[in-house]
Amino acid sequence: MMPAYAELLNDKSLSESITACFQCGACTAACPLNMFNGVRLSPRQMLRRMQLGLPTNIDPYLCMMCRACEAVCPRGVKVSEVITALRKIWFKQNRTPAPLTQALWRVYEEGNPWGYSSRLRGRWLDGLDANIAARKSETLLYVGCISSYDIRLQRIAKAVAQLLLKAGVDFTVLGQEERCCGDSIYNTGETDFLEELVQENIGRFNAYGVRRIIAISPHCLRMFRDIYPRYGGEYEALHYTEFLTELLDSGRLAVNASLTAKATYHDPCYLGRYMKIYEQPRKLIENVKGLSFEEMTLSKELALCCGGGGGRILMESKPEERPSNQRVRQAAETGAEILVTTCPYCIVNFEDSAKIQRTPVKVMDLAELLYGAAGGQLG
Amino acid sequence: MGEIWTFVEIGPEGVEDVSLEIMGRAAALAAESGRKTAAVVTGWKVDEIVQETAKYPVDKVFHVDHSTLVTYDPSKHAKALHQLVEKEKPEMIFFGATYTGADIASRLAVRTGAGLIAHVTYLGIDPVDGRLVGHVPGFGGSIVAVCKCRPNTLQIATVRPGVFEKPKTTNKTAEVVKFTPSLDPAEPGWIILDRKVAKTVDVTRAEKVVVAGMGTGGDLTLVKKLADRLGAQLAVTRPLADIGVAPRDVQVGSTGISLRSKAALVLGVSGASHFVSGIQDVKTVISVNTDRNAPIFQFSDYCVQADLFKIVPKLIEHAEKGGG
Amino acid sequence: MNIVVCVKVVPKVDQVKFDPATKTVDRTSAENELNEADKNALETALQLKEKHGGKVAVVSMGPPFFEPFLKICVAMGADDAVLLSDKAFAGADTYATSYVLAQAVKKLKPDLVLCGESTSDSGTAQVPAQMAEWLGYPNISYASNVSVDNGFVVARRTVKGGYEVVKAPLPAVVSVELGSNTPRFPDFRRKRWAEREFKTTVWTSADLELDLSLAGRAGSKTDVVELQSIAPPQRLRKFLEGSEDEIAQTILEIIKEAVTE
Repeated sequence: MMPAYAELLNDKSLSESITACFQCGACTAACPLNMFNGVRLSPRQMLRRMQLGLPTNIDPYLCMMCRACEAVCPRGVKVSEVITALRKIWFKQNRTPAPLTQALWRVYEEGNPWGYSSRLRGRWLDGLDANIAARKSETLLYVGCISSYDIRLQRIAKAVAQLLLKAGVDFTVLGQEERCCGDSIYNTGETDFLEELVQENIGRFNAYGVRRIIAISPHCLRMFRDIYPRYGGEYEALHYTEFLTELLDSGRLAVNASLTAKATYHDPCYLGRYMKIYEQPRKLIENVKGLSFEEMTLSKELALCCGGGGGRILMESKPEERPSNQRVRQAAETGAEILVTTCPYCIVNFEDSAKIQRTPVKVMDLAELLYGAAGGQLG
Repeated sequence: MGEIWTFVEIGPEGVEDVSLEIMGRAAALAAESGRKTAAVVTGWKVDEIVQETAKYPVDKVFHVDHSTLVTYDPSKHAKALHQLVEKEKPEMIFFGATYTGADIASRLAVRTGAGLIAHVTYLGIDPVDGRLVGHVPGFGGSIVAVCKCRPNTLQIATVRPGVFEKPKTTNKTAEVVKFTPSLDPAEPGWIILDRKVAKTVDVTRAEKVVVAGMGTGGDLTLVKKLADRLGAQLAVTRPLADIGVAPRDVQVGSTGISLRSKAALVLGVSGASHFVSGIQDVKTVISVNTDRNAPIFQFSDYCVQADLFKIVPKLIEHAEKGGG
Repeated sequence: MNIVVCVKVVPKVDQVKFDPATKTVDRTSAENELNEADKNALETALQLKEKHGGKVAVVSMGPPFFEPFLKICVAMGADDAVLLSDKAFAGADTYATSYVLAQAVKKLKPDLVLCGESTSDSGTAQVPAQMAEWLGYPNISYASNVSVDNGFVVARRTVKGGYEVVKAPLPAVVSVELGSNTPRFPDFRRKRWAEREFKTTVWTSADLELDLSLAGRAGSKTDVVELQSIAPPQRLRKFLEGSEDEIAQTILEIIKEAVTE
């Protein structure tokens, strides 16, 4: 038995996953990486080789962590957990891909994996009328790295903030003080800096009296819900669609939005398969008068990953091997003019694919749709 | 007063332009201060280079020839130059701020206890004390340090390529003075195991340049087509050179080249200060960026807030129709 | 195989402020970082250590606030950290800096000295070559793919239009090209140990065999007489409006005009 796998097998959950696999191959058939040029990643083979104590010969960093494999597995194998464990081993062996190592340095030095200056993180607040940064509040709107810095994605942050303000919610944002939630680090397999970063964030949140975190990115949400409790960070972690739906149901938010168009919705992996949040975004979309909605054939737990998870958003991929290409075409096939989604990485990937393929579909985040259709300007 | 010397760097195509540019400036400084100039060629079997150099504005060319100088091992060239310096006692020596020039100048400065002013974008002589004044850009090019050497030191400066104009040849031939350095071929130094050099286009001298930034997403097909239609050279920002879509030779910015073109079309570049220093000397800058607040617009004459993937095809279309 | 890596701590370039009134550079408002190219040099050293065994020591000339950054180098895998810290070293240009660093190298007697190609603050790239001259070693600059074989160092170095592969006898000074490798992320457990238990070696002028007249401001051969902010050429900053066709036409006209004048 390879010493490395002995490590994995000592973990109850991992050992259950590895031994449960009975080699049906449904995972490998479902994996988005295998829709292009043959089998690039076979979870089936990986698990079999682990069962036999052989080196797996797979690059765990190819995985987009979309959990499509887990959705179809008849045995409940937690493939993504096994891959994460492999990444931890690879990290210690200094085999992490260069872009992820670079991302680690950037989070350490600037608090985000993109390398933007930490001092510019609050710039998305420019032009926003309210004074919401760095105040004591039980509710924190956590914006996340890419939506804080990327000019296009800042519109999402602004839209969510405006919707919360409209509903009279008492909340704060960290603005320039915000730092990466740790998702980028988690994907690398590094664990010690992750712990420090998470503790630092917990300290920051607690200093403002935060008890509830509303996340814009499902990736950040996942960290706050699943990972932070392991380090003592217990917060009520919600996606903004969950929170807005609560506000809607309780009458605190009236979405006077109308837009005559055809739309479809993509379930981001980290919101759908990870968090099982399917209904709330749909309910919010329903509230936009005049919008006709059509599901894509592969939706909810069968949604096709955009390709951005598992740290892949930080790495290059061959343009012809991007699942987002297929996904935007699936959206266009419904007759939709607007592809609505709720994850900034999905937006980046879909806009790229639509541009390169000239697919006639406009990609929007749900908050932008709601705020825009309600007459709000996002500039 | 001592002479003003220019180190002549030999490139794959003969005398490097930067050396000639510096010789031009040296001639001007010498003229205004009543000094004489010399060019120094160091190498092995470099007669042709010496002949070429002697045609340019300079009073004298030192021909320093020795077999150990066949490679640009800086320790050997610095040693040879040191011996020549001891003999001739120049007042100032200029080198191109190239990888080769900077290494040799650095070592020579330690040997002679000289002051060394690096990467200057300006050279002058202080009218009060007759000493060399150099301007050194720092901090991404937004600040300039005015530097001088300590009194009684040999004054050495390295000069950025493209700062000065290349002079024309004269109808005279400068005097050639041969100097044989005392170097031991048995003393260990560089051995060149392999070398691959391709002829490069000097983008710094192009009249029209299209600069591509990360806004292109790393895909230069359209931009290359446009550059071709416009008869322009292509340059890139650092991130694009990093991902390998273009060589560092055409990377614009404080760690790369400075453009001196008449027109630069800057596409999908955000405009960080270290990039901007590379387009300072461009006559007309036109920028395209989707972000109205992109810093690049502060450093442009004409600004277009648009998607370059929409504008570039239009430019190609109109250029083909004969618009430019 | 013992290697010394010279590192420098520099202010984050985009955070340094120039005050046009006092004509001084204010570094205090800027955060500091390890010079990026020095990380590449350290990574090269660590890879050589993995292959050949031996020890890697980082050496830096600077004030006490450099220390935490040297500990990051230790966390990356360096075995030792030496800080050359003395008021007499301050205000040095590259001549004086390279002199002091060279004296430390003489004391440590490594087989190979690695540096980053240049620093992001002054960017002269002179220190490695000057150190080599003080030491009487050969130097190779802008190196990538550094290997060691039988008393020689072999490095690929970038030259205009391509590259050359140079072999030189050890001991030698090699400056590593920025971006030529991916510096490993520090081991944060080792970092915690470094912060709690590891002792940085601090040398003052008393610990080195030095001619103080060659160190610091006293030993420098150049002076900064004045700082000026470059007035960027006054750009027009004119936004072009109109349809994409109109804008394309206008751009072509502008280019034509710029070239024919």
